[in-house]
Amino acid sequence: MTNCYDEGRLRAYLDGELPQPERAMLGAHLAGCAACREQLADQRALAERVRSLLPMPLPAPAPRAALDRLHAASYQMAQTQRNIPVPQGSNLQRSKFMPNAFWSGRSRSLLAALALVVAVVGLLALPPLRAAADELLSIFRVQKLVFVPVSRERLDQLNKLNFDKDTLFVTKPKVEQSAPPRTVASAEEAASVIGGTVGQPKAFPSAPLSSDFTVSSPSKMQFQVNVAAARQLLALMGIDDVSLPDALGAAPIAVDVPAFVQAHYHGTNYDMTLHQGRSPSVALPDGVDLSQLGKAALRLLGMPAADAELASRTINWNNTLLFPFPKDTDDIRQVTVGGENALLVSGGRRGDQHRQLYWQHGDMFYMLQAGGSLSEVDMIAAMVAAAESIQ
Amino acid sequence: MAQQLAAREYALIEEQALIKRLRHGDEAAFEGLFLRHYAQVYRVLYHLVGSREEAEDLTQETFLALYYQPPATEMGASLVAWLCRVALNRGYNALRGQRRAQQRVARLAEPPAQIDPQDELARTEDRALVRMAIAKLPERQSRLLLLRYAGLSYAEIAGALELAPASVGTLLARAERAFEVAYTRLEPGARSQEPE
Repeated sequence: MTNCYDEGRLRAYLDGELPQPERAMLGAHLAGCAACREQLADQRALAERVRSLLPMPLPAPAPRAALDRLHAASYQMAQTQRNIPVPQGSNLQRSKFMPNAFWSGRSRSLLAALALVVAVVGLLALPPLRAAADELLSIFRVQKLVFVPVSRERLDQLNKLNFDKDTLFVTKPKVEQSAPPRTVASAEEAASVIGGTVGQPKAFPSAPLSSDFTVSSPSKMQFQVNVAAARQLLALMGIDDVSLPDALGAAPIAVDVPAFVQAHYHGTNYDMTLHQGRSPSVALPDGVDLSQLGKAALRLLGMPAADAELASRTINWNNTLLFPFPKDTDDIRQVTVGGENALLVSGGRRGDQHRQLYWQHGDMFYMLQAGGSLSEVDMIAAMVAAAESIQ
Repeated sequence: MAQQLAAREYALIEEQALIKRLRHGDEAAFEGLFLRHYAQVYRVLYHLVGSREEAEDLTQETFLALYYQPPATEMGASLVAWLCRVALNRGYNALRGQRRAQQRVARLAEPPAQIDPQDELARTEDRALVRMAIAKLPERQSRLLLLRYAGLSYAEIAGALELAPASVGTLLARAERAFEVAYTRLEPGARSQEPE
């Protein structure tokens, strides 16, 4: 009979996988067709025989335990510095300032806190700056961000230099985390884990439908500078009004990044993730003249000599960190959050735009990342409003 | 806690939101997807490779692939299909590897050394027979069976194997017939029978 159904369609009908209206039509056909009813019965019998042969599904290992094992394995990989290739188009967030050396395994989740230290170190290979004290090691806690715009010409110049950035290090920066990040149930729990307060935004485009919190463990970064190479870099850039002390490379420089919190808020038309953490602390070798280093950094970033001299005298290098950013692009611009300088970074493809807002308040550093279906103007306004509403 | 409960309730739209968050580096989103799909991926792989350890390793590899290169979110595309496709590829690659092939042959020929405490001996041997029968089928058919009996829908199977959804029914019926024949020939009773 030409109206009869083939085996495939009957099987789909049997498995409940035939879409309407075909399903209803086949059902009606079966009522009047013995041949198809017989075929359907054969299919059913075959399916049941095979199903009876297959043993009951095994219980799988507990997913939570497997997840912990995955974390442990990843951190082991990161710490032995095995070369994990970073595929193109992966969700590791790159900026021009992040040299590949810093990305290992799951360290990308440190972006929010480390970016603030690494951005400077990566570009300049010079440590954050501070007036030296009379102790063996000078330790300071970064409390102030100074966003330093860098022109495209300067960036091109620096990129085109025939200078291998790796030579700036005697030992290259290496990130160590003590434990994998953990999800916690609430902001209160996150606060108790990090031993501090966790601010939460109060102003959202609409009430969040859900929120969750992750806490990273503290991490350390250590490296040692090759002063001769750093001097060579300055010479190559024609900077002769700054001199670097030998002490800069005399001992390793250690950066301690405290635990930080990732709070994610999901609403009907937005997704926001707030990263927050107390500022890193940096241990420098004794005898480092920080205002000279500060001036060197500003000069490398393209500030004219007289301006750099003035800035290096007025900036309080006790607690200041330079955060360079390319200025000739719409993708990165300075805004203000509650009167403080902040940096807004936009990225991603159409339909999948995300934005990041970096700022600092007191000794807390923040990065707010957001995406969603709001217009650009509304999204940026929402981000600033959320940032300013943090309590 | 709230996150684990919510994971079960997530519809496809929520899953796509999770994938999107994952692509922006959100750890919690990865964890949610991992916890939700782990068991299914594990089962598919276990029935293929026959070793708990190897299935665990391959499942981990599959989720690492998700972590480093999450798929682009598309309307209607199911993450399960993507995960199972990646998992099966890795599973079959592992089976094809030289070293593993020898171990696999050895495993198939004997009852597994490790007996699952929740199982009787008979059921464990059944599993070995099933694996042998599946191994005798053309790869296309064995993938189809593994996915179907891991509980994937026609649409998910079609996504994982890159088939037209309308063809799944026909291919499934054929694969089952082929499996039944292969299995029957392997059964201990069958070997002693005269061929007809």
